[in-house]
Amino acid sequence: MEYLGEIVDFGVIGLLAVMSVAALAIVIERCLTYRKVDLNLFQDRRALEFELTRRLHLIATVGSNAPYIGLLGTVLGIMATFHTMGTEGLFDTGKIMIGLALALKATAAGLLVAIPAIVFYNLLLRKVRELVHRWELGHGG
Amino acid sequence: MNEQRLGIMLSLAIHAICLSMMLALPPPVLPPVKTFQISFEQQEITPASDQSPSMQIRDYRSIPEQNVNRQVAVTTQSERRHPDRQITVEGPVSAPDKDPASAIPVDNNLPGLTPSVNAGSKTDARREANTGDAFTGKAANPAVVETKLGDAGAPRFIHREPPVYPKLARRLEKEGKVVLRLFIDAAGKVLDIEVIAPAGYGFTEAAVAAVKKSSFAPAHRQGKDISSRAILPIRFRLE
Repeated sequence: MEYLGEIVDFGVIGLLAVMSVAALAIVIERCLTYRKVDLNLFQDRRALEFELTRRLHLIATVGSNAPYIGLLGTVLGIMATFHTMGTEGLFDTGKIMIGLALALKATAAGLLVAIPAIVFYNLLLRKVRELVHRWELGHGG
Repeated sequence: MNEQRLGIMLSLAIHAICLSMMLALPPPVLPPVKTFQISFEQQEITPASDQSPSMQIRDYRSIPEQNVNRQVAVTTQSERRHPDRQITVEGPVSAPDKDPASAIPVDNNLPGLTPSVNAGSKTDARREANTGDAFTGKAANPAVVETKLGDAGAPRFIHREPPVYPKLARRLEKEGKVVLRLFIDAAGKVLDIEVIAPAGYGFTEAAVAAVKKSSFAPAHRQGKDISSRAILPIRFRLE
């Protein structure tokens, strides 16, 4: 059962790190795109929306799923701790508490990834709506 | 697609900065740690008039598993857990090797067997009392006379690994004393470690781990290396 600890340490935390990097990369890319976008190039509203909302769903996915992945890591860590307790016997409360505390770090990492992702997703969504409305104003939508 | 590349780069950079800032945070401030001292309690070669060995023995008697009495070996034996182990004595009197059944149990603490013992009748009486108590307990190993590390003829440390003071105990400012009994064969190898007086807070584990990393010279008597049992008290003390 020792592999559970490694799964938590490298698998879950690593996955969360990848998700965080990807989400932030998309956020930055979207921000730059929105700043540059030329509304006059689009003749159709749907084409504009299609271009603007590209990849936004990835940020939403990261924001909604990162807590679950962190929770999964915590559950695995607690499983490993209980298993260790069961096999080695209950002798040191300190060790058990340390195991549980380390298991909770996965949840913390998940929340740390999810909160900014959701914040940025909402900001970008607002920006998209703003741009679409501006296009509608200009083109008499 | 310039934005994509820029976004990925910036994202990586931001993550790297955040991580390095988190790592650069000062570690949580622990309460000021006291210096500590771990001592292997050892005694010089004690003449029989010295009361400390018997006091020591008395301390152990509260633990059921122990059979610390040196004198019990003389007469009472119904079971012998380590028939191959030999007597280790401190005095000049020899006991026959390799044949515990016919062994004359020898201990310089026994009055009459060794000239050096007759110093204090008070101590002798106390030891008699000890012997009496021990009859009620678990039958002792007949041929084994226990030694303490540091006694003459007893096993010595070749390499003494200092035990690690358990973190929890250190933080809680707990002190403790662990008494181990080591079975050391004629080659100096530790065959078995028995905990006769455990202590909580990880003291026992630390002591056992330290003993496992230590190496010993076997007990010797009359120039020969013999297997023996030796008591090793380890005290964990904060100062």
